[in-house]
Amino acid sequence: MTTALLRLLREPTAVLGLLLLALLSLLAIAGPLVWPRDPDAPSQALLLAPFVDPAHPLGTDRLGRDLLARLLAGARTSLAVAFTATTAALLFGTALGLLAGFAGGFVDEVSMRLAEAFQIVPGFLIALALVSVIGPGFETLVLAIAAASWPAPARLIRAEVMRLKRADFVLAAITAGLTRTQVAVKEVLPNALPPVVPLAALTAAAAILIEAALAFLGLGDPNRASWGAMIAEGRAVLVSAPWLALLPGALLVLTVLAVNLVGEGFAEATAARRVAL
Amino acid sequence: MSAPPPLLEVEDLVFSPRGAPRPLVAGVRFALHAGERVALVGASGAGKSTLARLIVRLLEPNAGRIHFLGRDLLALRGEPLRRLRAELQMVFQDPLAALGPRRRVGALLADPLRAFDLAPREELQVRVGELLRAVGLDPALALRFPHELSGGQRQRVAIARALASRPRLLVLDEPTSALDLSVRAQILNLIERLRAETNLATLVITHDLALVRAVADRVLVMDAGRIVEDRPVEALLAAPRADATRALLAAALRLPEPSPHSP
Amino acid sequence: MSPGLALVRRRLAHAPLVLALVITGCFVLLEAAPGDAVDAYVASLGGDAGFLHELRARWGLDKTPWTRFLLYLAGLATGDLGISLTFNRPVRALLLERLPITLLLAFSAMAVALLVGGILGFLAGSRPGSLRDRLASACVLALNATPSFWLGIVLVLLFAVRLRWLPSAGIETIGADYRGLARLCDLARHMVLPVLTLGLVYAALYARVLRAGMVEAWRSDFVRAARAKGIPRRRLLFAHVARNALVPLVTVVGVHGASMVGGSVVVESLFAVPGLGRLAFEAVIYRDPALLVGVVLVCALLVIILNLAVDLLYGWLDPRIELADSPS
Repeated sequence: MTTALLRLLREPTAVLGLLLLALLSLLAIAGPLVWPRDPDAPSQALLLAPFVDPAHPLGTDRLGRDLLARLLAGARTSLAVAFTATTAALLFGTALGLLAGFAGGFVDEVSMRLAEAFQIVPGFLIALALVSVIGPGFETLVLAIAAASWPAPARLIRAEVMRLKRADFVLAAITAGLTRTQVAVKEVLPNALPPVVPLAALTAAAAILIEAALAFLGLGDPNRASWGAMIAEGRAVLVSAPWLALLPGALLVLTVLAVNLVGEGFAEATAARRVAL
Repeated sequence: MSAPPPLLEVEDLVFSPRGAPRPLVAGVRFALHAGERVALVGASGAGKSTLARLIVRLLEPNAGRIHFLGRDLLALRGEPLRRLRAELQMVFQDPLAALGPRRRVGALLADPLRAFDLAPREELQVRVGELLRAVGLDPALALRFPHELSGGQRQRVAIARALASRPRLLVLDEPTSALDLSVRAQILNLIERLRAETNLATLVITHDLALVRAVADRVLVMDAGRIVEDRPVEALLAAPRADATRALLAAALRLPEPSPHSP
Repeated sequence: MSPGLALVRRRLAHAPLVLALVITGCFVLLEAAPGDAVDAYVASLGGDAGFLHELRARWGLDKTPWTRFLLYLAGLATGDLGISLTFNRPVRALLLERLPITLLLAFSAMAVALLVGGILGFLAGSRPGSLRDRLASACVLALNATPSFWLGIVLVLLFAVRLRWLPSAGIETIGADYRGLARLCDLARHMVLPVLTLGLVYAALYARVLRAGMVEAWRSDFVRAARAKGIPRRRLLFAHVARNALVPLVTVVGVHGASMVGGSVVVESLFAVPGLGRLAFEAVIYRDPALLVGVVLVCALLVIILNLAVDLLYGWLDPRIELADSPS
């Protein structure tokens, strides 16, 4: 594991991505400490431009709310939704992929057809449908995005299990007396996981974009500031105050870019390892 | 006084996976006694490795019977089968492929000790050290990963792992063909020494007739999923009867060192 | 057999079962939606308890869920997708009315994506590791991280607000009442920004796939051997490298093609284009599950049709595939 991490740090793209991501996470977590202003508190200063008033370094929106505080809160929403939804999708997908790969037969057939059924409908539509049935909110966002993203890890893990379960070292573990569960946990799972990491990055990037798009359409969590919702609000004053729509968008691009860079770096690192072996 | 019952008795074993044009194992029958040294030879694709995996219950045959230690091996499932595996071990061709890549040697060797309740938890480390010493390795290697060892060291670890539970039968699938020439003899000597120490029966699979004299007293020749010859080594080498045997002998004469092949 | 082709074949073979699962999922969705169709209907139009009861009986809502599922299936079999309560019209009619606009948008966007993505990917992949590659790859990375709605807003700001070259919303000039060619031109002018927005997002994806395929082809034994024999790069570039990268590109176009409908939800809402995507959005905000389910089913069908098209294209692109199709 340590060698894999070292190899990751040798990839310049990965380092750049990790740095960006660390910075954004820091802003999201420590933001309220550094800039302790309520992102939802209106003020008299409406549509203030950036770099004019030191009380509002990045200006204010139509209700006079502080843009910097709102951007920091948006970072928190974006990262929290993406992280939770990705984790949920990966956990469910991995569990189902393991089950399908090991059980085979009917269980495998049913779970894989289910995964295809979820993949045949565009992910964004699945998310939309769930939001429409359950109603908007943080849990709905997580569930909707996870529902749109679980099939890919499930199929990847299943394919890895199918390949690994015939590997000599797995057969040797069976002759060494390990139970099925022990074989799955000790031998198969650790070897099936590495390709999931780049996929996790792709999933997280997509999750950030889906959250932003849902919020842009007014279907996000109404109790949290979100970059997507801020862009939608900024649209109304696009001509007079373009920064209100442009700034949250720029942060979105930066976040997704960082996540993609990390994923790509990891894919490169593991590919290099495979060649080295 | 009647002869003791065989350790392993295989009858009319058939293995024909879906999609295969013909059975890979097509009605194999032979017996093997305690402490016996037997070699299973044949050209690539004759079904040797498949037969080995059927015997150690890693593949499910379509028909036939296997009796081991007087028990119906094919009727065993679940926990009783897992328990019996202690007596029935296998060493694979490529030790790098047969040792879990993300686990340390110590953990791999502790597997059988733990699985078959052979050592209490606090003694595991000591017992792993003993196992390593028994195959001529430094106990400090327990902390290494398989890819950090040499080919010969890896195969010694695999042998130590297979012998940890003191089995009655050890199946070795081309145990030296993935190794450098220089370490082949060492591994063969090791197997022979360990075999003599316990009353272990060995079934060595090889396509290398030169190896047979060193590891077996009796030879089974396999061709197209069937056993076509079953005789003592000297008799077979002196006067081969089956065409497959003659072909193997001719090949061995032409090429003193057969190139490693994949099964 | 290439993994992409295997994926397409498998999807086609499983299509009926998968579609059945999608339909079942849709039905569950309809059932899970809070309140039934009558509640929503009465809430919007009003009516007494007797009317309510009569409506439930007429739409079969008083039956058990199992019977309703069978009724739903029977309806689907005859092409009946139910009634949209928002528009008070059959869902099928609405879908058929909106589908052409979305198809026009999606296919035009696909063309833009192939053109832009093709150029970027080709520039990058023709000489991997060069400055040209780095620049093109950086472009692609940035584009890949850009949300479509924000890109759309930037384009509007630039072309509609600042430059005033193009309209920012709708698909025709209201009240202009153009005829014939003039109407077509008007439509085209309105579609430029939505098509560009949707297309550029997918251009990033296509460029990545094309570059990856070309990099792989440069590393292949065949190309290396040809280079060693002194065959110039330029000749290999078109005859082998670019051609080799087309197969994965076609796969991605096919497999992700129908997800454009998902992407068009946002783009159509942003530009007020009355297509399927906007219909889905309207179905969500007006709580019209029958309508949403209709859109989902149409999408699933589109995916299957696109996969079929990809399968046919393969044979034309790479004649070796038929030979390599035997089990190994």
